[in-house]
Amino acid sequence: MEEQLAELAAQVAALEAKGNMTNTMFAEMYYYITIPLMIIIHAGFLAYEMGASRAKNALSSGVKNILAFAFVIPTFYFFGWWVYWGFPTGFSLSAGPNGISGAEYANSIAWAWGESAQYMGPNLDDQISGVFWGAFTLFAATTASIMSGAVIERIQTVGFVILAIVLGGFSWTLAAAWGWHADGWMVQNWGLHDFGAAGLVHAVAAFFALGVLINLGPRIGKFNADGTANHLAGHNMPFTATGLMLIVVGFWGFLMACLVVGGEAWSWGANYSTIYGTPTNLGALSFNILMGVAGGIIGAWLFTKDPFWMMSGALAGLISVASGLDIYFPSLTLIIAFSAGFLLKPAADILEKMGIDDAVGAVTVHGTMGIYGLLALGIFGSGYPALLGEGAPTVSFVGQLVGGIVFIAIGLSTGYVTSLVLKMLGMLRVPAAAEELGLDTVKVPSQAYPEGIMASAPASQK
Amino acid sequence: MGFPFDTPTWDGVSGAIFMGLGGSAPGLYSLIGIAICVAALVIGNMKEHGKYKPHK
Repeated sequence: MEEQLAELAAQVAALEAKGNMTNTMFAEMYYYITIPLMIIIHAGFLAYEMGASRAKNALSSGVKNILAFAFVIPTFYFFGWWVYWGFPTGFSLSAGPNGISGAEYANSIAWAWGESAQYMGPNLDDQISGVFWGAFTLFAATTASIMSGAVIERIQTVGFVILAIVLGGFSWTLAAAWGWHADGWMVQNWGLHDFGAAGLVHAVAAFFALGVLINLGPRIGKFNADGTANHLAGHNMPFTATGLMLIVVGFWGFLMACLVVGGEAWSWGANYSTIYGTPTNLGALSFNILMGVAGGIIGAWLFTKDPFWMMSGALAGLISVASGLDIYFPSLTLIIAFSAGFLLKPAADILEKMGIDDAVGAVTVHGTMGIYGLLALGIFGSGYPALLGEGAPTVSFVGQLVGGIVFIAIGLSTGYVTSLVLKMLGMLRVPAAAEELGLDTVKVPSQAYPEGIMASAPASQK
Repeated sequence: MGFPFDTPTWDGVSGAIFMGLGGSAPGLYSLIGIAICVAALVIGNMKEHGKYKPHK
């Protein structure tokens, strides 16, 4: 009998070990899959920006976009990851209540040298650091791509890459440390809830772009002497609209990566949770992402009938509900996203009337609608516990407002100051003659359309 | 450099397994990686400005 019991216990232990390993491998695979899914965002931004550029700048816009992706990856590896773990409690770099933040902790896990290098490279006992870092790196690269579209057709390439490094490696990472990390002071003190990063990714990147646009100025020919604006149409609307749809596809991976998988030592519990530890699951995302995208498209279509704004409406709809994708009721998601899509074009027009040439409406789509969504959650989600456990701070309008103000301040100030320094160094804007000639001719050793662009015959020739 | 464990077998190996483990090589590689990024930006900027020169 004793022997049989011992054998049974051994079999149970073996089964348990197998179950644990399966869970660990699932968790690793889960985040690994989000990385290529998020790269689809970049394929989308690439197509979107090249299509939104005039033919004379199509490849130059693409080069800029590809380089931002390439440079953000190593810079996030070398210092961005450290910023996320070091800064949650503020500039004091002290440890927070969960003990997974502050300079000492960041030093132990996030530098690619010394003892912490063991977590920054192949490690058989650590199946999470690599994939978690990979997902965050793609968040970082996404912020750079958000800024990228706004500044096309007149920004210098290297100047832009430096801006992308600052935004992807520092600005949004600081916002994420404060508003996403469980030790973040905005989470702990104000009950900030920004599940899908409407504020800390989208708004930060968009207001960073606004800071850059102030110093960069509009494209030649955008505004007339009396201040009225001209529409500088991109050369390939189908490419742009397809790119926007790819961005929507990629955001499934982005939002998937915002969940914390359960059952691991670093998890909040046995099941899925948000990054704040509050309970949720993929079903919640499925309901609300689809309804958000649909609402945004319908809202924009009602106002504009333009495929560019309709697909921008899809993004605006999604961003406007991103903060509360984990807790919104899908019908409410549709309403909020619809309103965001409907308000999108008028909000972009206001920015244009202020003399800002945002070539693709990035500030409005990601910034205005990011803040709109952050505040909407403060109204509808008020009272929800913002963290796991007893005595947790609750979501409130004031908390969301504080979060919004801080995100705007981080983005705007770092974007403005960095671009101002680049401007003083002569590294921000291309010479006027180069801009007029077209940047592809000036600095790209290949042609977008060496045989010209096919066009429909004029009606008179049909 | 080379396999960072005493005997050339994977038996019993756990933890970090990358080249240069436990020494100064990972830090040196990182330093070189950072230098490459900085140098690429400096050289890229010089070349880019060279392209703008005829248009100033």
